[in-house]
Amino acid sequence: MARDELGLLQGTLDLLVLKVLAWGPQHGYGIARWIKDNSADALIVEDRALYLSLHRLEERGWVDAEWGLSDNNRRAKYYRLSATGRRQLREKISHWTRYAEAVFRIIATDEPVTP
Amino acid sequence: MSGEDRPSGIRRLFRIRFTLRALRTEVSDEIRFHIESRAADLVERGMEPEAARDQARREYGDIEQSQRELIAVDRRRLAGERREEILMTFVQDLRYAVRGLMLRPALTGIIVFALTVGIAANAIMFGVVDQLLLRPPAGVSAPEAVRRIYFQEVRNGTPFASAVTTYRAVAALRENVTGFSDVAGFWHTSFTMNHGREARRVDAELVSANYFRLLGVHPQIGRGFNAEEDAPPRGALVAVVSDGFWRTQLGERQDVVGSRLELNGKVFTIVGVAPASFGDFDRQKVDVWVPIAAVATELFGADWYRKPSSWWVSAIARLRPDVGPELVVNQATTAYRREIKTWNDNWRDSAATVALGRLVGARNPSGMSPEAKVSLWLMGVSAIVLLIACANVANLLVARTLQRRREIAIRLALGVSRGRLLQQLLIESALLAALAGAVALLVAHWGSRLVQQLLLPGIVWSDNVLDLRVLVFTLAATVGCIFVAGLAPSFQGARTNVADALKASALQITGRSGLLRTSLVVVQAALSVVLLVGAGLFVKSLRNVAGRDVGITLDKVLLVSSDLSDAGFTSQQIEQFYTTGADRVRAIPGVMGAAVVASAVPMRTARGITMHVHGMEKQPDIPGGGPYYGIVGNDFFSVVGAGLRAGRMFTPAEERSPARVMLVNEVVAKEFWRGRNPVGDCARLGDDSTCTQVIGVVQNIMLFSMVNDDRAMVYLPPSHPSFGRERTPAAMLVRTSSDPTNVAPLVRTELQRLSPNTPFIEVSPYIDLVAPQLRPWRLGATMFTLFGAVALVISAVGLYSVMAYWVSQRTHEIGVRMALGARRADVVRLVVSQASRPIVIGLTLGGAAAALASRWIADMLYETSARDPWVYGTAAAVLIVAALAASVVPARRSAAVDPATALRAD
Repeated sequence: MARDELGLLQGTLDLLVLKVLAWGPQHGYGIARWIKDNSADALIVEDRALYLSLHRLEERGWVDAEWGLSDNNRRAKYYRLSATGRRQLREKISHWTRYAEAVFRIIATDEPVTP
Repeated sequence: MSGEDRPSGIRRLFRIRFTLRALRTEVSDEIRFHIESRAADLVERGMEPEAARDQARREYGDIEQSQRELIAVDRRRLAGERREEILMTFVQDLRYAVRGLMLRPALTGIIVFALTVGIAANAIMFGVVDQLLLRPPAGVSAPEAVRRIYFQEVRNGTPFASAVTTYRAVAALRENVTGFSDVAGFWHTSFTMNHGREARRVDAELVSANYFRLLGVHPQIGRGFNAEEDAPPRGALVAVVSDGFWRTQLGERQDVVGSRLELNGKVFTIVGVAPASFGDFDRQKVDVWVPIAAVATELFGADWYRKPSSWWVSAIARLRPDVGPELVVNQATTAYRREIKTWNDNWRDSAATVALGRLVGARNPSGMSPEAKVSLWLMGVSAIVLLIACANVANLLVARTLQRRREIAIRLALGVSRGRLLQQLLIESALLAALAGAVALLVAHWGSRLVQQLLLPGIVWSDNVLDLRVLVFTLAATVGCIFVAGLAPSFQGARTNVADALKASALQITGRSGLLRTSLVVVQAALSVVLLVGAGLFVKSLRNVAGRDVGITLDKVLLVSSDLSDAGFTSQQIEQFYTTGADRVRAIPGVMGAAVVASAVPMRTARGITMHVHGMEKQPDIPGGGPYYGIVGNDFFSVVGAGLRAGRMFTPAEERSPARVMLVNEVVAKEFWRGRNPVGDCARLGDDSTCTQVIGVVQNIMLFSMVNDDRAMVYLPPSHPSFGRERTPAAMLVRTSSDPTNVAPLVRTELQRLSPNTPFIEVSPYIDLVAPQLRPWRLGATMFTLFGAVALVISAVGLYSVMAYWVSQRTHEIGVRMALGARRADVVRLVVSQASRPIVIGLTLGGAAAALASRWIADMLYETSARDPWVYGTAAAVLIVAALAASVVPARRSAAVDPATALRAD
């Protein structure tokens, strides 16, 4: 993939990860599956990028991590949204929504609005 | 990793490596979990386990790379967490420390005060020493390459170093020594500015034209001198003024270049203003610089640049960077010796050598200036005071730690690590020291100016008193305090035994801490004794010097002199001036007498002569040189207050008509007549073929110095046929009935009125003239007494706190004793004897230390032995009195103990 596309994806990936964790603590694999399933396979997340995103979010303090036991009794690292993370999620959603609306407004009009 | 337990104590040191390994494991575990989960899903969909595994791995991507990325991120995170934690604990400890200090304001106040005094004193003295000894004069570029030139000879068997030589020698050095890139001459003197009523004295320096260039000093306005302006025999009448002179006398005018200045009756043109704070090398004040050639002819005669016998100029040189110093010294010595040979002077040491001294600093061949010596001593004394202050603070901190034992024990029991506790206690000490350091900087800022003006006047100080070096020094002193004062108590606090401290009874005092506190008191007492002994020795020396009979009643005699010959007066006019002047002065109320003196003016001039006594083969070797001769009348002796020891004074006839008579002083009688009575004997003076008769012996009168100044002097009347010609007066001495400073302005006004052309007339009480000589002793006495008093107060406070604590710990025991029949007096005696133990030990140690250390100041004392028993005894008595005063309150408190209450108490 081209470099800048990865970068852009990184920002959006953070948003998705935070949103997924808003539903509750999850480990990395669970997050990857959830995104795949709930986007109807449209979004394919690179595993490496996902884990990089998770660790960076942990560094920034937007998520907290804890080792726990998974469903099949295996040791897994669970991530949880922190209070700061929750705030960041709200801001990012609002920003992303406005951004998407603005883009959509332009590409969805058939005729240009005369100034 | 928020749930992980924080390892405490020593394991923390290895946390980094431990965590790094754990990090790697965690990251690989996480990736492995992901891949296995993916593989499991694929297996569920029907794939073979092996294939599923491979598929999952391939889907993940470059595992190695991913691991590296993730580990990097995690390491950053951990580092950030650690930093935050350190900061948080530090802030926590700081807050705790501040709260603790505010809870005990009195204790905090005393500690900060003691430390501030110590640190401020050291900062001030360091600033002074820095400017006098370490820092080159302002404005000089590359001062490390500039050297002062000294000439070392052996005269009468003693080596003798002098900075003064002839103009010819300086020129020879400049031309013949390739190791010097430049050589310049200079001479410090004074001029009269303006004339008549507006006459003022200014400090001047005669310099060669290349002086400013050699030093790399750039005038802030205008320029220095050109070579033509300093060309022998007559230079140009140009002048460079100092920054201070420009500010105070010339109104800081920007257009000062080209304006006129009258010096010694001649009109000079100002060509430049020197940069700020530039004086001469010893930081003496200089108001104006002029080229040597401009005034040399008037001062030294027409041949000044060729005469080998005229010694007045000093020299500095700049070394060439690529030449070794030994080589340069050899070159200079060779050139100097060659120059000496051309003089045909028999009593010049032909083996003279040239020595090079640095621009500033202590170890110059002619020794340290007295100001510098004194400042170094003061630094040492300040250091002692700081030590005492730190010891006191340590004592107080130990006491406080003891009082907080319970609180510390509880914290330890609740899980605080000892390392953390130690850190917290150290932060408390650091906070105290930082407070003290900050306040000390303020005090030093104000105090420095005070110290400089009061103790060492006449020196040009740099404007910014507090500069980087002093700041760094203060910081270092503060940190040093933390270590000296805070380390022991902090370690002791951190070592508190939890079980012991939590026991209900507080009767046990850990033996080690009691010993620590007592030894601190001992140290303080010993150091105080050292300072007190120093004070006593200097005070005694001062009294010995000041009370010495030097033949002049210093507090009643004025010296009146003026540079009349420089102003163009002829000998006749000078004699007329002084004679008429003396008559006028005698009429002033408050004046007891006035005497006109030619030669042998105390603190001014003296001329030497040879004297042949019948029966002597050669001149005796007299330490002060001479004999010197003075041309005086009888009134001279009555004005100065010197007594007649044998024989008689001049008769009125002898004073007027030609008579070959003379008075000799006690030194002459001893050296030339070896104890026989010289009265009636005849001796030949100088080239005189007829001998002069000795009619009397007078007391020794000081010439230049109050001490060690016994010179051979003979006194001739103005009517003496052979030497009376040289009777042009050089000065007038005036005796007053009361304080001479009141009469001085009257004398001056009266004399200034005599002629409109009179230059500045200097009227100085002798007590002021000799004051600089007394300064070292006065300074030593003042500073040692001051610091000694401070040290004593601090030590007394320290002793008080120890005794107060001791009594409070012993309340129970005292109650028992009193219940068993002890009287109040017995209890008081118990307290006093407990207090006296450290004091006695401190006295002994201090006395021994003082006796050892006094060896170093022995050469600064006057007629006082460094082991003078009176001084030591007085110091001991003072300390004992202070100790008793400190023990009074605790003793009283112990005597007031009510046995019943005490026995009930804990």
